[in-house]
This record gives sequence, structure tokens and C-alpha cells, in this order.
Amino acid sequence: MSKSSFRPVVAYPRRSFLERLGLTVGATMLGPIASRLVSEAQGAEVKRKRCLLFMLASGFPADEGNESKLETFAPKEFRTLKPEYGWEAVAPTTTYTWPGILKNMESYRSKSLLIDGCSNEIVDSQHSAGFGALSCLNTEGAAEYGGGPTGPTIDQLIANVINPDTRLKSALIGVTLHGDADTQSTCFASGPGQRLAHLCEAKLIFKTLFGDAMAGASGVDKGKLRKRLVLDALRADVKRVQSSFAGEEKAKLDQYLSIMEDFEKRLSAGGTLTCSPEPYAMPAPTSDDSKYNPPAEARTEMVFQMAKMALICGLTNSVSVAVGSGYTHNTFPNYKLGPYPLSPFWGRTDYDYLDDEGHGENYKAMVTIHNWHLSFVKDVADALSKVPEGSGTIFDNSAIIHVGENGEAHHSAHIRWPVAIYGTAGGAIKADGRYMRFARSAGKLRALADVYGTLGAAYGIPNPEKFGAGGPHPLGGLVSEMLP
Amino acid sequence: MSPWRKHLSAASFVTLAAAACTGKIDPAAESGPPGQTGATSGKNARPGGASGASGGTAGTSTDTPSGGAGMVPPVTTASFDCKGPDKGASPARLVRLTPSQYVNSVTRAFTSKAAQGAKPPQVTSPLVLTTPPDAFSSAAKNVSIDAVEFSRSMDTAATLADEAVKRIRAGTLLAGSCLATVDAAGFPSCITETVKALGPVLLRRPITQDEVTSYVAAGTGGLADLGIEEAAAAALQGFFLAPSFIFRTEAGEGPVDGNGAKRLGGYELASAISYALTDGPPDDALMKAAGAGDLLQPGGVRAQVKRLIGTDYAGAPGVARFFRELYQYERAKLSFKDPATYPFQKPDALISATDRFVQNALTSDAGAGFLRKLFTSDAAFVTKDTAANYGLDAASRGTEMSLVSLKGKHGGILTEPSWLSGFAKPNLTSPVSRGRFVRQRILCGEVPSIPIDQVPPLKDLGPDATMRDRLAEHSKGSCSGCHKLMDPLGLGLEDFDEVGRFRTMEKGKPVNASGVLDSSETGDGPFTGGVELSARLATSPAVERCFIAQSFRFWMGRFEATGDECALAGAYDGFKKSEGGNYVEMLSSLLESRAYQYRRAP
Repeated sequence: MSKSSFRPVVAYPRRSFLERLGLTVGATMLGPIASRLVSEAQGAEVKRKRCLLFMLASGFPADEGNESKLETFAPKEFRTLKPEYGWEAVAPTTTYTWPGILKNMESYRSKSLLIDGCSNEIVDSQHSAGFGALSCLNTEGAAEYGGGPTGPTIDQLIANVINPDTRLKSALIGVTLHGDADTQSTCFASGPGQRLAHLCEAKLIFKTLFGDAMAGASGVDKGKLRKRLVLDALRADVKRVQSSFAGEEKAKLDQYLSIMEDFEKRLSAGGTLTCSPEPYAMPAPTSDDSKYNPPAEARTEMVFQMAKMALICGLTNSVSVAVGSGYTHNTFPNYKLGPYPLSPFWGRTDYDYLDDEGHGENYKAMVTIHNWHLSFVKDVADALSKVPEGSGTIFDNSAIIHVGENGEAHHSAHIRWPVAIYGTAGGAIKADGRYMRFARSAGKLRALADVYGTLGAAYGIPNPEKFGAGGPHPLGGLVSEMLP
Repeated sequence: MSPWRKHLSAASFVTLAAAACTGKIDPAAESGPPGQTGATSGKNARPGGASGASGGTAGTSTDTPSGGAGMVPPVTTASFDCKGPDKGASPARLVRLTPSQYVNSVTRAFTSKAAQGAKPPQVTSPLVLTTPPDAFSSAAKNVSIDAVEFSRSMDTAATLADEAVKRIRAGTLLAGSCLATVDAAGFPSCITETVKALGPVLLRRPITQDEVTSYVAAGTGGLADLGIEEAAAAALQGFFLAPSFIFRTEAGEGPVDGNGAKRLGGYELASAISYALTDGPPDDALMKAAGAGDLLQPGGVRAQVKRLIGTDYAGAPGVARFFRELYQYERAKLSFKDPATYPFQKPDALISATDRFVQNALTSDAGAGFLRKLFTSDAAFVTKDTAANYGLDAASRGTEMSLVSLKGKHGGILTEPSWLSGFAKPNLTSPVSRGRFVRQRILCGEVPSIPIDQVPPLKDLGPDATMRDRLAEHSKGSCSGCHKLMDPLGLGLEDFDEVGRFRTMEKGKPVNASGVLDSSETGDGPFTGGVELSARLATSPAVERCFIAQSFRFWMGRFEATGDECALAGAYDGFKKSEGGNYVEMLSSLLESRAYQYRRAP
């Protein structure tokens, strides 16, 4: 299936939308690279790893059955008769048919690693797993209702170690399919109870990621000066209030101070983007609209454009994109994806993409939706592949991690979470075109936390083998097959 | 053994090994409403002892009032056993404003006496609600501010400060202010005067000299580069970000008493009462009472509570919020219904109907016997948008609510269509989640959290099987250990379908709505149907104690703990001033208790 077949008919003024955000077509990826990147390309080997995490809501269809012609995550050679009753392990192999649900990433097959069959049985929810999707821990309440994280998410642990000198530790962005919320706080966390909001509103994303860097380059920056004056006043005030409290209450203000310091750091770092001014010029949006929320399709494209620029411009080495995450009925009603306006679907079993007649329309819809998003992921990968870095390209130092926000289905029991990895993160991940699967049978369950922990190990996080400890599954240690 | 499993073993789930409930039930057969697992709680099965990369625990069970599931303090008669003098006190704490409280606080600043009656600016809260779903929104635990919220608060504060300066200079805020005509030379004294005038409005208390100094410095420090207007805005901007604006402080003032606690100051108490009841900052009368020390006098709080509640609770939206959160009937909006099958389903209208039902229970007969009415009233407040759910003809209804008596087909809040819709699947009832709710929220009972392992799906019994048929498997073997706590209660509500309609038939057969109630103390035993179940609950001492405990959790923003017995006993006495419950007396007693008014010294 060609890439274009997964693209919707463009029903929004794409060009004008991106231009309003200052992301002109010519400003995206094909222009001259940043001077710093040039110098790095000419100099010593660069070890800066990048990580793009892409998490999509509403299930990651894994396997519909061995009689099926539906294209899911399981290669047709390894489909299971009744997947709801378990499946056998598949040793790592490069001999398989590329899964249809990943069709748009097939050109990256030789740099991929497909992992199937691991469990993350977050007991809170049969829909969105919220923070549990990336922390492998139960949340305090279902995320769609605001449940809190009980530990850090893997993207943040990775961000902690790969962003020593970037302007942002990580860029957390996404698309909400529920109303027009500017931000959402249901996916990412830096620790127990420490939610991290991801940005969903176009202008807010632009301003937060690039706004300060685009501020006036000469003379007194009045905006920054005013913020500094305010921060000075606040600092004294926070410390005064803090003196009346102890323990957890004092810690609330410690966090307040810490965030203030981070905010100040960002102020200082403004203007240090590594992208050269032309043709990466990104004038701030000029519209007076307080909010600009085009259709979800357009927002999705914008979000990936931002992700691409954030990585290439050196804004951060860690970008996480969450689409539609964190709510119960995350469907894609506004997506005009040919015959598949995926409306709420009614589950019969855990593997509920089949309707009662077994037509699999919802399976097809999810395959289409995943591939539609992967067309943007591929754009990012292509762009990273074109930017030299060290002896290779940025992509060579990157990994793109594609996960579902819940498990095998919209009504997920969270028993099977496919993970697709594209890129080796500088050779730290053995992504060489293999597919592998863990068994689901007594005593052979493998935790998703083990896969995430192993990814963390590839990036150098401390104690990776303990990631997800305290979650629903006993840990089985690092997944040796993922490491060189 | 994983730390999580160790935790379970060590905690209240001592029956785990015996019951050995092996996991979730088949969600397709019975998964409960969105966000709730079918048979198991899990959400309170907090991981313990985790270390290293994964982080650790989620906090203790005594500081996140949930009113609901899992590892919460048991509510027993001992919880109300007040021996000797009351020594209760809450922890000193910082309580962050909710989004609506932020907006209401800004609005008040721009509409106070100083604002000359001007319209407030439109503002969207940069703060988002971060309490867990089962937790009451009043929970104080662990809510600080995140980076995005701070960044957005900075921008919002800038906009508000600019607007304030603009209004001051135009004379529509702080009329006659020197800021309208000040020059650079006069700026330091003028901005000092301005900060002193606006500070108390924004901080809900007198401003200290240290605070004046800090915020004035923000203005004077920027005067040369920013000019008068923007420098003035810089001075005011910090107020909208200040910890004393974003948080309510409950530290206590004055000397530490013999029990190691300090009483809240008048202004702290005024804010605590006002944000709890009105969702906004203290009004002029409350501020005046705080300043005069009236709130700290006997009866001072009670008088303000009664004033704010009035006769219809219109001035106390916090009370309505409590009932919405306790009974969770807003879940009607989250339990999706197939529009083809249920074209009439309008969740917002159903929720409004239940709001009115609750208000009726609270206000009729001057509020006497409210809890009994809450569980027995056959009054339905019907419009054309809700008529079908109540089994009535929509064509004869208008948009205004009309009171209809549905004797035998409606009896209390558990028979309200909003609640029944919310605790149901899209196209099926959900006896397990309904039963779990009754067990946990109404009876304050425990449903164990269980480990997840491989889960055998329920057998497919074909399209003619009733829900009771499908759940029969739960009564067998290992699953019964958990399900016996939920299914016998929830199955008794099977005479109400997934959108709350009373029914006598299911799948072509007479509906079987028989259930069994236990732990109510006075109404235990078999029953038939939701109306009978509710009637039994209405007179249950266990239900009364549970309701009071839930009220304590909401209004205190924390779970009850040792030392709170006298506060609970006092609330119980207030409750008992009317047969079937007196809400105002109960609430007043809670807000007058030491637990509410005293804070442990750090």
C-alpha cells in the first residue's frame, strides 16, 4: 500500500495553518543545517543520543488470528489461532512479512526491532492506561479521570540522561481528541505524583518550544526583564511561606522553586537554538487569536513538525508525542480517513476490533490510523537521516519508539503491548530488522517494563533493570535480545 | 515476590490467599463504566517499596481522601468514639486552588469594592485539576504546580497585571490612584501605595511589609527599562503567581497549645470556609468577620456557614460539588451510550436532574431527614430531555423541570438515571461496578485489590443470556471471594437498565432483581430491586456513619485518622438533630471542630 493511500484528503488549509505557526514549508527540514551541527559533522564523533517516543491511543492491534487477512502487528507467518487464549514465543528473526500496521515505516525495516507479546496489565483501566502505559505502574485512579502517576515514565528517565545541555529537558507535545484543551496531564511523569503536562494547542506549543528563542536579538528584551523581576520577587516570597511548613507541604514549595529555576534557565538559554536563522526562521504567530485549534489532522501534522524541528534544532534530545491519549473513548471521529471514520466501537472480547459480524472494520480503521500517523513519523525519520552528525546522521544516534497507549485493543486488557523501535540510538539498541515475541502462557509472561528498562539501559539510565518495579508484573531483567 | 505483592500481603488484603481471586473478569462481559475495572479495584493497590529507576510509593492512605475504594480507613463505631477532651488537629498544609477557584479569585480581585463595579476580565485558569478520580477535589495532598502550569501562570499573570494597571490608570480600579498620573520620581511611593491597596484583595489577608518590599522592588527595578506602566505591571504580576495566591495556607497562627497545635488565624479560617463552601475567596462579610476576630468566637463559624448556605444552598456550590463527587453521577457523561439505541440520552440533563434531586432532599422540610430522603425519595425532576430515562413520555414535557412522583419505580439517588447510566457499560448494565460502588461509597466497605495474572474469560452464553446468567460464574470457585462483596448488591439493581430505566423484563424474561444486603446492621438479608435496597440503606447506621466519614474526608481534605474521633462524633451529633439526618448541623459541627480549625505545628 502506498503512503499516499494512508493520507486523508486534505480538508484543511495546511499551508496557511503551518505558516500561521511560522513553520513554512521551506523552513522545515531541507535547508542548511545549523552551524553547530556543521562543526560537529566536521569534527569529532558525536555521542548525543536522541529519543522520539510516539504513543497513540485506542489500542495497538497485535493479532487477529491466523485465518485473518487483516494487517496487524503480528506478521502473517506468526499469527495465532485464538490470540485471546495466549500465544507462543517467536525467537528473533529477520524472516517475516512486514506487518501491515507498520506499512509506512517499511523503508526503515533494516533499522527496526519489533517486539511483541509483552504484558503491562495495568489494572485500573480497560481503556487508556494513562501514566501506566509508560511507567508500567498502576496509576492512582484511571487516567481519564485524572489519576495520578505512581512513578516516572520511561521517556523522562531517558530525558534525564541525554539532555545535559539542551534548552529543554524534553518536549512533551501531542494532540487531544477531547475538546480543545491546551494541555493534558495524563501521560508523562517525572516521579510519583509528579505529572508533566504535554502541550496540545498549536500556538502554545510554538511559543513554549521556540518562542523565547525567537525573541528580539538586540537591545533590552523587556519581556525577559519583566519575568526576571517577577521571579526575584516570587523567590523571596516562596521562601517566606516555606518557613511555615515541613515535610510534604514544604516539598510543594521546593517543587515550585525548582520549576522557577528551570524557567529562569530557559530564559537564559533563549536564543541558543542550533538551527541557523535562515531558512529555519520561525516568526512567532501573528494572529491575535487567543487560541488556534484547527482540525485534529492539522494539529497532528503540526505536532510532528514541531517534534522534528525540536530535535534537529537541538532544542532537546527527547521529544514525546502523545496522540489522543489519556481518556476513555479515544476514537478519531474527525479523521477523514477514507471509509474509516472510527466511531466508538463495541467490544465483544479483548480483541474487540472485530464487529459482531467479524468484518474487522475497526481493525482496518486502526491499521489506517496507525499508518496515517506513521507517515509523519517517517517524515521525522527521513529528516533526521538527512542531517549529518559525527560520522553518520542524527537518525543514527536516535531511536523512535512507537507504542500504544493501551494494549492490544480499544477495550484492552493490557495483556499484549506491541513495541516498534526504529533506529539504534547510536548502536546501543540491536535494531536490525528483527521481529520477536514473548509467549503468553503460565510462567512465561514478560513485562513491558523489561522492554522499557532495556531501552533505558541503551540510553544509560541508572538501575534500568528496576524500571517498573512495584508494578503489576514481576520483572524478568533486561531483554538481552534488544542489546548488541 | 514483587514489592507490589508483598505490599498486598502485608496490607489489608489478608483474605487474598484464601479467596485467590485470580484477576479481572472478562471486560466484555462485565467491565463496569469507563475507568472502573470490572471486578477489582486495583487503583488503590499502591505499589510499595519500589526503588531505583521506577520510583516509589504513591503516598499513604491517610492523606488522599477518596471516599471510595480500597485501602482507606475502615469506618466503625470506634471511629466515632470520642473519649475525653478533643485533641484533634490536621497537618499544616498548603492547598492549591482548583481551576474554578483560581478564576473566581481573579474575578473577585477585579470586582471587589476597589474595582468600582467593573466587569472582570475573561480568564482561563492556567492550573489544571490534578486530583485522582476517586479523590475528592478538596484533597490537599501532593498538588503543587508543574512546569507548564507555571509557564502559563506567568503569562496569565502578565495579562492580568497589564489589565489591572490599565484599569487603575483609567480609574475603574482603585479610583483616584496615584498611578494614573505618577511620574518616574514619584513612582516608588506610588507603587508602594498600589501594592498595599491591592495586595490584601489578592492574598485574602493583610499584606506584610516583607511582601510589600519584594513586590515593590519588582516595579522599581524595572522602571528605567520598562517605563511606568510596565514597571507597575511587573510589581503586580507577582501577586497572581504568589504562593499565597495560588495556594491557601493553613499553617495556624499564635502559640502552640498543649496538644502541639495552633489554631488557624481568622483569615486562614475565612479562606478555608469560603473556598470550601463557595468555591471562591471570602466575601466582604467574611473578611470583616475575620478581621474582627468573630470567626474565632464560639458560634462564629456556624453563623457564617448558615449565612452562606442560606435556604437553598445557592450560595454554597461546594455542597453540590460534594454530592456530585461522593455519588459520582457525573459519570453519566463518561459512560458512552450508542446514539442509535438510546437517541434520547442526554447526560448533562440527567446530571442536572440529579442535582435538583439532591437539592430537594437538602431543602425540603428545612433539610430535616435529608439522608433518608436521599435514599428513599420517589421525586423525579423531569424535562423532555430526561423523560425517557424515567420511563415517561417526553412529548408532554417541556424544558422546565417538573416534579413527578414515581412511586415504586424510583427511590433515592441510586435509582437516578444519571447514576445508573454512569455505572453501566455502553449497552449493558454493570452489576459489579454498581455493587462495588454501594459497598465502598455507601457502606464504606472494602473490596480487595487483587494481583493480575491470567484471567479466564467468562463463557459465551449466547445472546439470550441475562446479565445474571453471565455473572453466575462469579459465584464459583476462586472468584467468589471478591465478587460476593459486589455482585449480590449490584444484581439487586437489575431492575434498572443501562440508561436508568425501570424495567420488569430482560431478554424477554421477567427481570430477576434479587440481591442480598449485608453489613448494614439493620437491613441485612435478601431484597428485591433498587428501591428496596435503597430503603434499607436509608435507615442503616452503617450508612449514616459512612456518610459522615465521607463528609469529613471532603471538608477536611484528608482521611480521618486517630485523633479525629471527637470531630466525627460531633458531626454525628449534629446529623442526629433531625431524624434521618440534619445536614447543616452536621456540616457546621465539622467546620467548628478542632480537626478543621487546628493545625499541628511543624
